[in-house]
Amino acid sequence: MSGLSPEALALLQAEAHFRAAVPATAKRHLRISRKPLVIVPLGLAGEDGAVLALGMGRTREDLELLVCPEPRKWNLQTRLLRDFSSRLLRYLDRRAADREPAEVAPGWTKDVARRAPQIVAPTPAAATLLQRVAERMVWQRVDVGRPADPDMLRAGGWLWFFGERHELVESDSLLLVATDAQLLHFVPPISTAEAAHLLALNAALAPPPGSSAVAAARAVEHLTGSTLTTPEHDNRVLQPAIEAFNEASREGASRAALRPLGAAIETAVRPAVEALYAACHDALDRLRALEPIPPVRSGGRRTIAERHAFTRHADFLARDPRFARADSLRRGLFLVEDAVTEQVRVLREARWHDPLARAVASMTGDALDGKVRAVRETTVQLQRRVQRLELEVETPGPWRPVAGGQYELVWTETGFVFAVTHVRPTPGGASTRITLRSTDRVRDALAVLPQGLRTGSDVAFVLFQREFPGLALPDDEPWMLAGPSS
Amino acid sequence: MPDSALLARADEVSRRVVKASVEDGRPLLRVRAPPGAGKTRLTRQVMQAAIDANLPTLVVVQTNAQAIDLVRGMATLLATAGHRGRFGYWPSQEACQEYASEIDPLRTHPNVVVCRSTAEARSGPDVLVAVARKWAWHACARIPDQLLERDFDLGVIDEAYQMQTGELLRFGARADRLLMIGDPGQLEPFTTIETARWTGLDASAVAPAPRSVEARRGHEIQGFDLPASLRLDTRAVRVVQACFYPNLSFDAVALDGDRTLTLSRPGAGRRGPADRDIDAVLDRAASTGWGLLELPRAVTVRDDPEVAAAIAAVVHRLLEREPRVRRDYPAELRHGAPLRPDQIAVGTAHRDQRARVREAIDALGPQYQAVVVDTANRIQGREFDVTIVWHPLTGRVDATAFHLDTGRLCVLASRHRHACILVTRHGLRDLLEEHLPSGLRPRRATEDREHDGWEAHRRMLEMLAVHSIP
Amino acid sequence: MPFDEPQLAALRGELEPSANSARDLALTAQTPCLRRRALAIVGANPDSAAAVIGAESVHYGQSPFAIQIGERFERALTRDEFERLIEGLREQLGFPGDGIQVVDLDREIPFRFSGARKRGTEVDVARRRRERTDSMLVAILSGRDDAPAIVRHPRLTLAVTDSVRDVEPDLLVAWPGRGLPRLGEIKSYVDLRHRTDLSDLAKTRQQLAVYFLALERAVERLAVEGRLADGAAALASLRAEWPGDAGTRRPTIRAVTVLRRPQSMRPVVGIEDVRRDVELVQRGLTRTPATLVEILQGLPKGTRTLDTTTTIRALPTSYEPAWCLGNCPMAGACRDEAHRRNDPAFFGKMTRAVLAAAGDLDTAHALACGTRSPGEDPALRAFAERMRALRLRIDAARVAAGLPGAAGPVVS
Repeated sequence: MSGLSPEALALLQAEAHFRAAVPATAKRHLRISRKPLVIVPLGLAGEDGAVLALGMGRTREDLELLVCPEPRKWNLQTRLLRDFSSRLLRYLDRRAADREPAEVAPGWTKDVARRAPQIVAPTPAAATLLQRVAERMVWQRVDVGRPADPDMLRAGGWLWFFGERHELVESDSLLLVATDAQLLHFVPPISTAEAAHLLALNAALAPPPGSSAVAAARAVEHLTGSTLTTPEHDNRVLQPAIEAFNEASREGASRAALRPLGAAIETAVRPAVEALYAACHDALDRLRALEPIPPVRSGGRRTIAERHAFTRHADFLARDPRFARADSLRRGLFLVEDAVTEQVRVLREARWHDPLARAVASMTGDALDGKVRAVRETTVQLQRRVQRLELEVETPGPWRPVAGGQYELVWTETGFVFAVTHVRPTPGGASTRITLRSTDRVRDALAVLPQGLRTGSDVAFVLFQREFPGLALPDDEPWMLAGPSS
Repeated sequence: MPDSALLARADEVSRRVVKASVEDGRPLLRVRAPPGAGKTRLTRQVMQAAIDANLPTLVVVQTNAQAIDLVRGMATLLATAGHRGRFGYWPSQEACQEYASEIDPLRTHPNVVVCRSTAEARSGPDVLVAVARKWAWHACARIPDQLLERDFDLGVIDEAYQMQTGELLRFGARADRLLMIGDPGQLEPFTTIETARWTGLDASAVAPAPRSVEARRGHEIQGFDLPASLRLDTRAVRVVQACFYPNLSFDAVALDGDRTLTLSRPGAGRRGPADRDIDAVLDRAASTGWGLLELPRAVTVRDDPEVAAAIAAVVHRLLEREPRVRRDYPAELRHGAPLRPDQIAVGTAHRDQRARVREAIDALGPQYQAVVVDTANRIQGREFDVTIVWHPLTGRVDATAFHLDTGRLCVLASRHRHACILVTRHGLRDLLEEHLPSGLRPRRATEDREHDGWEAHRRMLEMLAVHSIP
Repeated sequence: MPFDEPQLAALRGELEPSANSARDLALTAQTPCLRRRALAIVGANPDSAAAVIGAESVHYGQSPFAIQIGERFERALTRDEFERLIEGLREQLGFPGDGIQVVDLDREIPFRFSGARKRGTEVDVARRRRERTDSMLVAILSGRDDAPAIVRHPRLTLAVTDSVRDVEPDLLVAWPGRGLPRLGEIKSYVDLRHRTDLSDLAKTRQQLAVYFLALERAVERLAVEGRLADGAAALASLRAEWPGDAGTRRPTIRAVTVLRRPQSMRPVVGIEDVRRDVELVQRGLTRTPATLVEILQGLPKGTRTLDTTTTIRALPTSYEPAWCLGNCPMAGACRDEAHRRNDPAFFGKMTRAVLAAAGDLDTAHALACGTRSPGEDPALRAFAERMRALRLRIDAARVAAGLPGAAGPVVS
């Protein structure tokens, strides 16, 4: 996941190749909670959604390690999942219960969770593993006389929400993936494929003194970097340990006899989990060092939106929720529209608050940075003669507007919309002169624009995209779309 | 002479569609139409029958431009025939702003009622035209007086394959019966977000609407295929059908010789090799309907100024050589007439390529302003006498699923009535030969847009190799 | 005369034979790398080649757990006369209720030799398996009642340009009495319906494509040998046609996939269309240089085996991190090479495409920073202009944001 265009990414990678990691942004575009819940899951190769070990904690020092000595046995796996569920629910229930009013949309105040939760996973594979775990918990195998574990159901329902939102909403901060979050803000001198290994990525971003980024990354690549322990480690340590445990189980060994065998498995996985856990915290610290854009600060738009989404899901879970294996058309529509709307907002905010994001966007005409060369009032003939504000802006290098696009002046919260009326490169092509005319009355314009906007001042614009208020979802599928798939 | 038997067959299919939808009241109809088959004409025929039958009909088009075209065409049709019936047009706010000069005259047209509010739409004429977004909006509006609580007997969707299922989900219940008309070979609806979550589902909110309907109600659909293209002639259909429509067979009404493009002034041998190549490709296109101009091999930026300059040079030289077009319809062209600049279009894959070409062409002079330059997305549905195409893979070292998308090339290569010239660089063949489609399609998938697009690209290049210059 | 197994072994020299030649050959549909292709054609285990050149793998390697579950799944399917597999075929593919004949070549003509009761040399066993497969194919294609419905590990011969080698698909499946043989692969990754891993599916289809080429060849040969009543019909029966719209027919090659139901050892049986994959594999295998003769001609003079560092390194590669790091044991060497040579491919396909006009990272960076002139070449000028504009904007933004300054000249 990168906010950079392929061109910008390539440019910065070329730079990083000869120096070291370089920044991709000037600010932080993700919310970082003060004490997020870091979850480091380890799976078992070839198994699907099986959890061998799971480390979780809120601070660097407090890592709790849950281990399942034989994740392929459902009764043993459920023990781990139950432990996991109770801890996860403790974290989430507290937040869901603690509510306060907030303005979730202009003019609409609602009671929502006071603090938005945050789960941090090391890599995309870890996030996917958590999604698969969610599914297992939500669709538990229920036997006669053993009903579904309600805690597991709820915990699964929560993980489902986090996973789904992460899949669809750009720059989602409810579920943070340490590798992707860093790649959004930094360009390391390694490929994206290599950067999927969290330890390698961290090493490339902050190599120890005396080592190059690439060498530092190589040095840790042989360690567990995502959700699977390495084949070498499996062959040498893990598999024998699990085999020993299984054999003893099969021969009916007592719990006391099994305990040291289980402990051996724990010893086999602990270093990997600890390393990834520490790496997650390193990533968080690195991100915390960046100045956040306002929407992701406490009280910012995205933070409130996340609190709102979180609260909505809490209420959904309280109402006997159902989880389908494939989205219905209705649900799909809801998810798409939400995601598209949020994407528009996120792009705008990124460009609004981050000059580096604007620099990249200006190559496609989606943003503009320059100096004011002239400010004047002008008269325009529409249905009658009206006054408009006109700005002449000069930007270095070539620039072309989006066809038919309008631009918001980056100034106050809600900007001011201008239309581009003239674009001409200066002789020699060293810069471009653009004339922009406001689409609102001069009186209003001048009232809002502070005295700062004068010839010589720096000015910035982002592409204006009108937002349409949300529509209600249809109650049912219409007749031509109802019925089973063929 | 045009293939009148084919035309008759096509008319027969249209007639049957009109009968099935309006008279017989068949519930679920789908018409597949190749490029230039006369989709909009069919829509007008259905509308006329519905007006005559006083049948409440909801007519859906995809873009404001298409809405204006349909409404104006319908209005003219009715007025010319002296018809007294009226139909409604419900434009969106943006349309009223952007197309004010086209919409205002309609407000006083005797056959058109331009609705300005939901109330007017509710109580308006039986047959009502609006864009999909507008129907979706008013079917699901939260504000009570924006909610269109009106049901229609028949819903007609034009360009149905360009509409997302989500839109149909919103307004579908407003129609008791449905007629979907569209071209399955062109670009599919476009979303900016990752849709991998729904890839492989046969019905999803982002899939083209007819596909979801087919998945849910396939066995109930009565299908029709328009057998003819009225825009493309046999020379064009030969290539377009073979490359992009393996599942839809169709022929051209305009047979060999019906469409001519003559360059009154000959190619002048005086100039350099590049200019000679341009003359040669124009001659080729004039005589065979296709041309392929291959610039020297190079790896370049996407908006390669050399390609843009070459395209501008082709346009320039084309008009310099006093081109004349002759075709059977409209009557004024039966004996030929000069090719007008606004009947020439350049198609590109990317906006920045469009901008480069626009700049290069505008620099040629004010008489070239009328030449249309646009991306595949925006040129879809339009037609011209001559098109010049910036081949999507030009100057690249590899091909991606986006560039191989079969719909994009199909749109670009099927806009023309007389001739189409593709401009690219040498090395395209090698690029395609070396490409390995990823094969990343879901379980039980019958479609693979990347692979099929790759095959289509290769086939097209193969078929056009004979027209390649140099 | 095509190279046969002993000749291939001679070419391999000290290199270990491939564990699964079909899987290796299938990757010609995934990567253009000539080194991997040559090794696949010779039937050499790439791990062995990696050991020779001292390369390190990065994310490549199979975990014992993955191997274990593969074995467990196969055992579960074939236990009790293939009970679970048959149940899956019945439920999901409409196989008939009874009268399913199963032939398990692993049991009938095993490769294991037990002590004194020597069942024959490896070559002999291979031949007997091939012959048995042939006669079963004849029975199936003739629609005979005694034809088996399921054959485990049939043995077919694949021709790869100028070499031949044996391959053993997991299954040959045929609806009783219908004479339509279909290949099948058993895979232990889970079936998640439309969310089943796309990459796993692609690889499975590509392997089935390789097997299909061998099946086609077998049927051709049987027809030539006169063992089939109607050779053309038999060949045609290997392919099928989906009914398309408006009376069109879409050609298809159907193959059976046996995937695993999540959290169980039960199968999910399905049909996949591998027509496109067959075309790709065919092209991949015949792409020049394709023949062993051509490959050997490209090697250092006097080379007769592929088991030395010199010869392996002489085979050109095509590095692409997204594929190579996880799929090739020699990826580490290619990665180092790409890094050393400032190859944009080091950063992946997308960056390689963007910077291709510049050729290498050095030139790209220098052109962007303005420390090198693009000269007269128009492609390079256009590239430099664009990159320079972006570079200037980014540098200005960095300054405005107080970030460490502009990019400088190339630092070697």
